[in-house]
Amino acid sequence: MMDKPITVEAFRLTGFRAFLRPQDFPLRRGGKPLNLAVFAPNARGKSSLVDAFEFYFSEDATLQRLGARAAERYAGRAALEHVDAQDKGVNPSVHFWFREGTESFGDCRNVAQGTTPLPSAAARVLAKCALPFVIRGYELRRFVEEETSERRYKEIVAWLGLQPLLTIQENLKALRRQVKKRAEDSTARQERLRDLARVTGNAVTEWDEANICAWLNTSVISKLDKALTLTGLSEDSAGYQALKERKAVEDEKIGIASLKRFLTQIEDLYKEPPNGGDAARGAISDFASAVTDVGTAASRESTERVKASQTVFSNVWAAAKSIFENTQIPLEACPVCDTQFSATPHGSRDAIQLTLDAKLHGLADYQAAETGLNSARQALSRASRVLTAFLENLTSSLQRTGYADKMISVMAYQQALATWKTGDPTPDSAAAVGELRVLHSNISEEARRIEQGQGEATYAGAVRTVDSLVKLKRDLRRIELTRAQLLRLNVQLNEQSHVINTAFVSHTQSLIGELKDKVNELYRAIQGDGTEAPPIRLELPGEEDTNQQRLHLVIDFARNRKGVAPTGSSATRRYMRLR
Amino acid sequence: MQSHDELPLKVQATPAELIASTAVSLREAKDTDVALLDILSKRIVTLNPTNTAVEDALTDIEKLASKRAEGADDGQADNS
Repeated sequence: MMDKPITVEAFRLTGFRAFLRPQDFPLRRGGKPLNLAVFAPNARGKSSLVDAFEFYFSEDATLQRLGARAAERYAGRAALEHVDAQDKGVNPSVHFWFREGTESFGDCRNVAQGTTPLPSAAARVLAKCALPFVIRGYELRRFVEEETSERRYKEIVAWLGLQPLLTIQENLKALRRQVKKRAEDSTARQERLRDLARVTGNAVTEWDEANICAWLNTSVISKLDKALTLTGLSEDSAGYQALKERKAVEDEKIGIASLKRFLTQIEDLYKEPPNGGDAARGAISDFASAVTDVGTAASRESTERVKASQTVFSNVWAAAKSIFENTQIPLEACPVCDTQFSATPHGSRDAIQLTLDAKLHGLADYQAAETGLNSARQALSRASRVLTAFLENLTSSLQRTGYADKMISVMAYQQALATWKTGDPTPDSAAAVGELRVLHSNISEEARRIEQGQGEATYAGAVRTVDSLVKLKRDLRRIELTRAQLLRLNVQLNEQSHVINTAFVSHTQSLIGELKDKVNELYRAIQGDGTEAPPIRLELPGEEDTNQQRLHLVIDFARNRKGVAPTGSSATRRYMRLR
Repeated sequence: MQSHDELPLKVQATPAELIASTAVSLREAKDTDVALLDILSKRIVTLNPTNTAVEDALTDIEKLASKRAEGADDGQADNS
């Protein structure tokens, strides 16, 4: 909305269309702007006035109905100037004067053979226009008869400068559609049911816990122990705990348990980053990080210590600060040594206060750095102890199993660590890590080979099957709960969208109402006193349609003529009506 | 003729003001899901939404549903 409306103060046509001699049209009287309605018989220049507006404000100095500006013969000077202009030596032009608040401005546009630039006054006015400056009847008819109601709403919202609100409405609509679709989507559940069918060999295809337990007891567990049964799919159930215990015994018997302990010992020292992550885990990595952290903390502590050494007077300052800060106490010199503030390097009481505050802040930074260094040293000490202990565990196992001779780099790393002290470079672990990787891979392969050699009917296999079904149960439950929450959010989303849309539509209606009032005032002024001009109605759809972003309208200028039907159909729609 | 001075302009809220006041009204309303409103305010009901506003809001809403489902799951006894 414009704070200061721009009004046309006057315009002058010279040698333009029907006007040969300069003709002025003043549109201001007694300091107030006027509206202009033109009534005249045919061929008296009514269209020339409208043409003057279009010519003055057109980018390429022509009229749209004349065609492209490049067609000089039809769209250029010959089509715009008065037929006698050249013979009478009149230079054809259109001049406009405008007013914005108290400022008047304007300039002239000549009708030339070539394109003339848009006058600066015209550019200034156009910059404040949301609508095209000239609205042609046939364009209005197209808007009414050919545009969809949704498109009309978009255009009107854009005219009123409310594009951001329309974007919000459109995004909300798209979001509601997508959330609803997602809430109703059963793909994830179907995938889990396919997993269920795969695990049970198509014996169970729909989730029914009793059926699944029956299948487990009959097809899996009874092959191991007919007395053992599972009554529910839970890690806490007695049947599952019994299976786990049997599996542990089985692992010990076939040697898997010791291999897994070995793997755990290796992983305590070094574990590959999960899924290609960026950081390895384990005591070796933790120790290296702790060494780096101590270096960083020591460097910061050193820097802050130098700064803090300049704040030795902190205690003195702490006592003097209250005096300095109290502006009620007149103070021109140092209360300790009587040096005039103006004679100090800082030059004033305020400058001294600022400097000392900065130095005290530096002291606080030092204390923080010192605390950080102490924490980093403690963390390093812990990391070193843990690493040493894990290495001892592993080397002990290596010696027991006869692997020690093959782990030369691991042993060397252990020795380097034993003599390492704070401040030394971190012992190089690359070769040791390489050996651990190979060892881990070999032992994992050995464990796999043993497990596969056991065949189907094992407690390990039974536990794996039950575990996969327990996980499926958990997944399905989570899918159902998430879906329920999504449905609730969808309801809330619809409610909040309705509130937002209603507020936006109400705002748009308010602006349209303002436009309607002004148009009606103008219409009454044109009709003249004593005429009962039917008022114009401009209305958005009713509340039930507010989410549809539609504006239906009928425009009809004659009192007794049937209205032009808009496109689209709706029994409940209301119309923007121009009568 | 009618003078423009007799048709004073009403002061209307700007889109930014309307967006802000609508969000405040919703926040103060009883039964409003504030977490959802936060998502809408951040992603959708804003003057300058990103090109991926709808997708981002959908992702946020799904995360919220998932988090609430987790809470509901933890709060219920396993009936197996």
